[in-house]
Amino acid sequence: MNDKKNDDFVLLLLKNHAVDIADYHHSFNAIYLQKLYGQMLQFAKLQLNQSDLAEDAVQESLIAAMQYQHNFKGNSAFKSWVFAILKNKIVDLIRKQQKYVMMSELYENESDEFEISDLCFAENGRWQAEYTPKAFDDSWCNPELQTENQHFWQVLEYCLTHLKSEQARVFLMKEYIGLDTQEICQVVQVSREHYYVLMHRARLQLQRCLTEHWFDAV
Amino acid sequence: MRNCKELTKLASRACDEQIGFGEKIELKLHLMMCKRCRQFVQNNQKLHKIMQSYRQVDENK
Repeated sequence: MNDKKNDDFVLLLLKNHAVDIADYHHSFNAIYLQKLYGQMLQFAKLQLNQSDLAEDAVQESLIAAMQYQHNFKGNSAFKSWVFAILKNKIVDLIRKQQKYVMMSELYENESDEFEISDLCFAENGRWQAEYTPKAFDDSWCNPELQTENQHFWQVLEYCLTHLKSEQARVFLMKEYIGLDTQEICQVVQVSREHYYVLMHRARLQLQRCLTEHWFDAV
Repeated sequence: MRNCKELTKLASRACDEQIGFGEKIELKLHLMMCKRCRQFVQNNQKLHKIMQSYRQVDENK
């Protein structure tokens, strides 16, 4: 890996987005982005098996993600967001190359066979008993239990990263960045109808995941 | 009339934008009769709150 070249890219990225490079208190300082860049590149290389292609995918994803940089004051959601974009790009590239070698377990949830809306409902459209959502209580926001809450955010991050990347992207754009339907459809380039489908599935999947790992966890 | 699968899709859309008058009535009627869909809708409202808090937690880091 050419570290110098990668560092230069990160610095240029910060400069283009008018982020003060010397401001190490800013969430998007060079150190944070260089670390993220490294993680992304490692991930992309594993999937693509071609360093130059991986590098392009990472750089394009970071550039796309930085457009909304000011909406992410903290780091953790930005990471979910930028990885969602990266996964999308990788899927596109793999499709183009007609290579369907899915090497990472992180990819399992991208398969079309496993579609949450088919699992939750029977053929007649009624809820399947085992997939029925459990009530979300207030255990996630107990003001007296800081550590407990910290654990909940980890579970949420886990569930967000296990959404299919297209679902994660639109869901974060809506519920985290706060964009409206029209903007999201333009940026992600999907029809309104497809957007509704993606959000429906994301909500079903998140409810399922949070039920299993938090609200109904033993 | 929509089944639960279609109804939850309408309920999800209702989280994102205004739905039509007729759709609202159908949604309300279905929710009055169906506990599982009611749960889905209530959880979506919680999920929205959770995401807002998550954002704030991030900002305060």
